[in-house]
Amino acid sequence: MTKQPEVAETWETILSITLIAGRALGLFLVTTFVVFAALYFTPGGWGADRILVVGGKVSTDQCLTTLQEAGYKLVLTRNEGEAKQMLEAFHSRSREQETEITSKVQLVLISLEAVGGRASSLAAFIKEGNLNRLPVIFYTLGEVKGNGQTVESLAAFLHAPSPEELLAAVRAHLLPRRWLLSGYWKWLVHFPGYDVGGGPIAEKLWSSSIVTFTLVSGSLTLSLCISLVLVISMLVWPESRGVSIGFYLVNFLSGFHIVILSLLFVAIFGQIGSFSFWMLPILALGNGTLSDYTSVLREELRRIFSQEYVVAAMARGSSRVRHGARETLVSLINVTSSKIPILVGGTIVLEWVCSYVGLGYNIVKAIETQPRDVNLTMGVATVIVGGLIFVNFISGALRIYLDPRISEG
Amino acid sequence: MKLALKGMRTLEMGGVSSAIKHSGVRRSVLAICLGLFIGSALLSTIPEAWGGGNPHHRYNERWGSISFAHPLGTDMNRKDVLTQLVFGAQTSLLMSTLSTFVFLLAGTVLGVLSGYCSGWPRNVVLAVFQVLQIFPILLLLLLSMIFIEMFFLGRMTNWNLVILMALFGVFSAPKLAEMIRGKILALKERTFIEAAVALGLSHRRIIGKHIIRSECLPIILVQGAYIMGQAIMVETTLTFLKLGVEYPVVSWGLMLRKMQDGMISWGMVIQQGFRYSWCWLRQTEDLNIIARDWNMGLADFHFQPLFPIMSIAGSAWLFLELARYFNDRLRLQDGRG
Amino acid sequence: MKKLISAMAEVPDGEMEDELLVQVEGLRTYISTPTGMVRAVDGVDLNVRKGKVLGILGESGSGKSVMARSILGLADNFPGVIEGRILFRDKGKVENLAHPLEETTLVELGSDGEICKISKDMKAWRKQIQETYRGIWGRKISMIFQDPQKSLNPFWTVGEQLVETVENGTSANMPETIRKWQDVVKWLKKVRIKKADDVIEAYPHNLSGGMCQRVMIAMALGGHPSLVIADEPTTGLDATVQAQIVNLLKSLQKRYGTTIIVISHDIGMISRLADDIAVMYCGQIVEHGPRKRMVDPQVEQKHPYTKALLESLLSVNCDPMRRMEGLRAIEKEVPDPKNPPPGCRFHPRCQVYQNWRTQEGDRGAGTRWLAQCPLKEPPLVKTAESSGIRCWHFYDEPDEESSHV
Repeated sequence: MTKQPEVAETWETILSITLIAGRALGLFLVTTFVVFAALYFTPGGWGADRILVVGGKVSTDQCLTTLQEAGYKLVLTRNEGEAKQMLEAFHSRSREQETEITSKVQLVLISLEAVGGRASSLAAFIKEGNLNRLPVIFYTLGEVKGNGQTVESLAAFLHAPSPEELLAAVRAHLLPRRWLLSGYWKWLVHFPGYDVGGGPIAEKLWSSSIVTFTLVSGSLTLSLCISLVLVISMLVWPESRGVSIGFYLVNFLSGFHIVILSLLFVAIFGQIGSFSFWMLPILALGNGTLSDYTSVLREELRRIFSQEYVVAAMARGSSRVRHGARETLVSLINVTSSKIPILVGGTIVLEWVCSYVGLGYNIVKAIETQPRDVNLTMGVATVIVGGLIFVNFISGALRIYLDPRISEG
Repeated sequence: MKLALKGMRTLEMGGVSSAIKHSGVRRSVLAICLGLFIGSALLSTIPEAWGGGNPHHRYNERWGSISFAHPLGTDMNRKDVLTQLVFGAQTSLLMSTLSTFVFLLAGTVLGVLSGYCSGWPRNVVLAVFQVLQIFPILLLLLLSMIFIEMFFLGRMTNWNLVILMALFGVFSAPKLAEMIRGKILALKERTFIEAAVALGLSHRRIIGKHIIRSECLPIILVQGAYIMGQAIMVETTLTFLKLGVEYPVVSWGLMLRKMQDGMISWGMVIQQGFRYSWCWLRQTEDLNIIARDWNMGLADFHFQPLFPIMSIAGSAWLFLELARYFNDRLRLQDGRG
Repeated sequence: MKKLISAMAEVPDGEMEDELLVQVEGLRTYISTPTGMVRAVDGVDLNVRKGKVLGILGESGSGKSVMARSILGLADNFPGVIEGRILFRDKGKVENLAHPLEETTLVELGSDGEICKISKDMKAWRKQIQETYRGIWGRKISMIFQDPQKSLNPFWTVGEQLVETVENGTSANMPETIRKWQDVVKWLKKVRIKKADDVIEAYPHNLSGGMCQRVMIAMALGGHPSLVIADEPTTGLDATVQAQIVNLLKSLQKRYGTTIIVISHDIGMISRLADDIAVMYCGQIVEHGPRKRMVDPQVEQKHPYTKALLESLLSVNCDPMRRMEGLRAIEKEVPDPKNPPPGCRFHPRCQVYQNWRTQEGDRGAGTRWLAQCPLKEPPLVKTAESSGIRCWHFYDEPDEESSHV
């Protein structure tokens, strides 16, 4: 018996799978780049290239000239009052007071001479307000007067730096903003350890991913089990009242959206920040996952087992179940892969309502709060997008492997 | 002669099967609910001088109970719940109509494009569909917020929600487009399109109208009704997540968010209630203590959050049932062929 | 008035009976649809002679496929088979394959003798059918289906499906498995598939229609059944491939002596393959007889429908006058199976009846009963040894001939 057709078949499968893997990877890169670019140009993002300078004069200050030559745009203010005004506008929510300039400020440079050497109330403002993600660098060209200690405890402090030192210090706090692409590449390569002043996000990302993953996979398996039980019992006992009641219950409960269900859940169980088993069925119900599974499974089973080839198999004396099993499996994979996006969407809402810190919670928080924590946003977005693309790839690969009718490209 | 009587199905000959039941009851229920919804949305346009309500008027009581003046009570800001519901209906209706309109337009155009044309437009459109279906729509909307901010330099304005709802229509369009594409491909198989072209009905647009009017209208109606319901839920979710409108615009999601704290005592009441009945059945502990706890919980209990929940669920259910109704009516007419 | 069906049939005497493999009596299969009850098979009687080929001829919608499936227990819709007996003679034993009807189906007749109510326990019916046919499917009766591509499992290779039927059972025993695979290759060669090794590893969608049909034939014959039912085996195949399949079937039938029931609307194929022909119209058998009598153009006593079918054939060899006339079609359309015409179902399209109706005179021979055409269904009357005809035109008084209702 020759093996050649089988080998050719295997090669074809491998080729198809590699093709969709390549496509998935490409999609991942493109999507994350798009998000990166958006965050780059967004107010307060990485593209922010302006430095708010309090009290320096470009004409006299060699450091500032070096900074300008390095490509950073300086926003000069004469005293801290003016600077405070600008930063307040940055912090406020009304558009009238905001200017384009202030939304791109990423660093504050304060010359101690200009503020008279005092413990700057500006620095205190920055720290106590919500702007403590804005790095502040104090520097002095000469002697320190007054409360040097207090100043040092507030922010980075450079004592009579040379222009190169100042440049290095500034660079340490900002991404090199020259090119969008290299910035993206660097971020990708150092992900998730890269810290841009928001604190390391690696642990946050890891714990959130585990949380979300358990929620999603848990509710998926739960829906699968329940719907399989329901559908199989419908086949075995078609007249049973209990099964019909089960179906109606599922359909009824699925009519409520996940928002309402999670609100009710929180209302009943209180605001718990940790895992509760009841989250899984709520997630399964609120997105219509469970009800879709049951109705699709029922229809598909009916359809598959009334197909011509299954009837022909029965007329040959073979078991129908054996012949229909493959197609049922493929159908299951199709349904699952189309339900996962909806499930993830519901997880986002559920986590937010229950204050359960997972990827969904993080991404909503990241998008809601101002100023935006770009690092966290980008990290969470990358993980979610990457996860979804990966799941899609897996389901595509499985489908190619199991279904001999499909071949890509 | 044993005859199994259990489980028999019986059929009377000569009677038309009951499957074609144009149930008048179902139709009138749907019409009434739809009328209520649209009516309340329109009600809110009556200016205050003519007897309309003001959702922001503060009355006397916080968490007021049901009374003649306040049929549904007042909320924690002393505003009337019913007026807020009515005004919220307006927001929901507007936003979901916008979404549905964009959805139908984008879906039909893209569906016809991908079904009719061959060559690179079709491949691009199909690839885009495939990609869009990987991601949850909510996530796409969240990420679009970043882009919107880029253009608006800014923060949460009320226009954000409008753009987001339009985007929701666009992101949901692939489903409709694929259905229409399937229909067009099936029609192409029947080659009467080729025949029509050969006969000189050369204008593609004429054929397009023919196809859309006769074949795709059922799909459009059903999907349109379905997406109206979805859009209401999405609008609520977005406003709830602080990504939508804010005061002074009224929305059901906003009501939910503000009333979230008022629902805290629900848990206690329900749990205490269970404990009470459990102990009452078993006669174990001192019922008075539990009753006291329960009363304390009840004092804090506010039923007002129930109403926005009910209206949200109700309007979503309404459009779902509408879609199902269209489906049954049109599928049966279709299925005779 | 209730009518109950008896489970086991008595073996009737007669010299014809030994040669009959399958005897169908009074089979009725109805299908309920949202728009009405389709009387797919409405009182069919068939005798299938052992070792011969029976051809069933009819247009689409005449109920041929439904009848084949009813015989094989595959009519699964509601209500399905409601009446009749399917007697299967195997090794001296006679079994009524439709005996589950007794316990599961209740047919009530109205005052006019027409069926007015049908009750059936589908679950019990399906269970009993499974029990009845378990030893029959694939072993004693097998079926070749219409669309070969659709009738093979697209997820399994052809070889995996063939192995199942060749010895009809699975075995983990290695020598046994090897022997079965060798049988598979042998069978593929028998159905004239070259390159059997490639075909074994291929999936159905990789093969052409003709190949798939050959595989199906191999699967049908692999279990050495006594009866094979071929439902439109050549429809959908190219003309050259059709001829090959027909020749293949003929040679296999000669070699193994299997009884075959061929169902088709292709008169040419039926006349090539069949020894006996039965013509079906609107759920009923309107004429049956040996092939020579049925297709011989000289024989005049033919059912108008059969005659019209034969006349609609235009072959290369017919005389020039006939060719100049062009295509002759049967006028009007096949009637709606939910609402067949009253009386004889063919009468709106019957030339004989229409001629008689429009011409006032002509009360010649054979026209005595034509007034009954729109009023009453003609019974199936035996005209010769193994022939019968259901037509008022050829009807004779019952005291002259024995009639078979």
